[in-house]
Amino acid sequence: MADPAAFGCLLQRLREDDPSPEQAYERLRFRLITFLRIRVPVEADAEALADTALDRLGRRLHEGTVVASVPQYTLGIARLLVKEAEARVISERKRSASFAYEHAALTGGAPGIPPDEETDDAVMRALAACLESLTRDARDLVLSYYGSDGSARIASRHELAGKLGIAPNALRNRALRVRMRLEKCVSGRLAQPKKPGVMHSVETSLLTGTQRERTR
Amino acid sequence: MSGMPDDTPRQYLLRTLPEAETLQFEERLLADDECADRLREAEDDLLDDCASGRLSAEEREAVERYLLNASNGVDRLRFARALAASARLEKGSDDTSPSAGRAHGGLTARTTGKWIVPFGVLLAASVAFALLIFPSSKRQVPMESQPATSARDVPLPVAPVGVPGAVNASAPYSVLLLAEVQRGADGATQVSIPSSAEQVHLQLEVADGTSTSGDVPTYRFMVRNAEGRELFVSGALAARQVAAYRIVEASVPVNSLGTGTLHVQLSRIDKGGLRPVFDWEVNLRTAATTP
Repeated sequence: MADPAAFGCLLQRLREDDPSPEQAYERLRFRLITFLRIRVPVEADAEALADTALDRLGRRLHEGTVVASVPQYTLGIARLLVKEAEARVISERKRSASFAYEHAALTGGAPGIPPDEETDDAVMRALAACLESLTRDARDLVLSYYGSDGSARIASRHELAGKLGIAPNALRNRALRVRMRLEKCVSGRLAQPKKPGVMHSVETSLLTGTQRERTR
Repeated sequence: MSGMPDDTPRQYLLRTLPEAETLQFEERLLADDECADRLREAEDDLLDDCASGRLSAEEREAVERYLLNASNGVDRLRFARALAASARLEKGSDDTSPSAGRAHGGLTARTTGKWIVPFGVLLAASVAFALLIFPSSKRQVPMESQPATSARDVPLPVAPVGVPGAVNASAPYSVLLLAEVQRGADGATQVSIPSSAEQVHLQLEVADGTSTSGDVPTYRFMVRNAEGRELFVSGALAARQVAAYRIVEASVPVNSLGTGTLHVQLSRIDKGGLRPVFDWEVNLRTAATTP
């Protein structure tokens, strides 16, 4: 946050609702990003907007605004930011002759996913390696949790939670984290330059990374 | 999160939720962690369904309009395809349903089958690499101590740090803690360290998103015992990128840690003080170095 005094005011306000204001701040930011990621046009940066929203919230508090409900107030700011982002994007698209977007298609116009066998294969390779880097339990969990679809999905997940002896919410949380972790791992691998003949498991990459660091 | 039908997040994403309920849902989203998780799950499920060709024309159009058009939407759909294919491979011969081998949203059965061999090759190569290159006494401490019942469970090679060249008994052992489960209930991570080790080199994954300020963020981690007593506090650490991960690392004297349950907390150093990023519960024990 740009203004330390405003940030301090925000933490102080969060402390009124939660004994761990830093964690409350992170959770609020995560939820804000979730909302913005879905609502703003593709050109807008949801994370940056979330920080802007929290920055504005902090400044309002610093100015003495009484905020009865932090989530509701933050949502109000976020909705304004969505409108601002939409207006900005419309304006930018109008200026760009290459864009044929209509206002109504602000968040639309996605061309779908073009067939690209090479990329699909690369994703499969990366996922295979990333799955291998997980513990056996985590790997089994993510493949089981996301292995069913359609009408069988809910029943299958409840059954899995029963087998593991945990609540469905805890199972969801666990599966989501593992999936997010896998997505991050895969995108990280795809971003790496290709080195023919070099092992690319996460562990060996980490290992060679450490060795390189040491021998510099 | 009581009182919300299972399909509300899905309807919200497809923009089929009535306006009043949309506003209500958004209020809950900003106030409730579980709601955010359910929304994320609904996103994943929609992408999985899209990848598997299980959406109606209207749903598919909405997914393309609202989800695939997000900044990383297409990447997530490709990931969903790959994950669906991997799940089918995992099911293997016990899944004889007619849907098991059919094309899924562009990832054909040919592509799926093509990966059976590379999966095996990768697995075998990983094991061979670990066994041949690194002596068995210097394998990395596994992040979770599970019996090595399959190739996948072979302990990882160790990355002795700060001791170039010859391996010796006093070389620090590396323990890599990944931010796999942020708020999950996975319990303590089991870590066993050879009784001869004097130092443990802790590597912690930093998963706090990208800094938007432009400053290089620094971190500090603290180790506490079960009673909350501070056992070790690192200095200010800069993260470095290793493969797909950003990590911070420091060597910790083993005798300062003792054994049993430890709480490792990673915080980011901000102008306003320390901001917790991740924490891990670790069950530390010592073990003999030789089999």
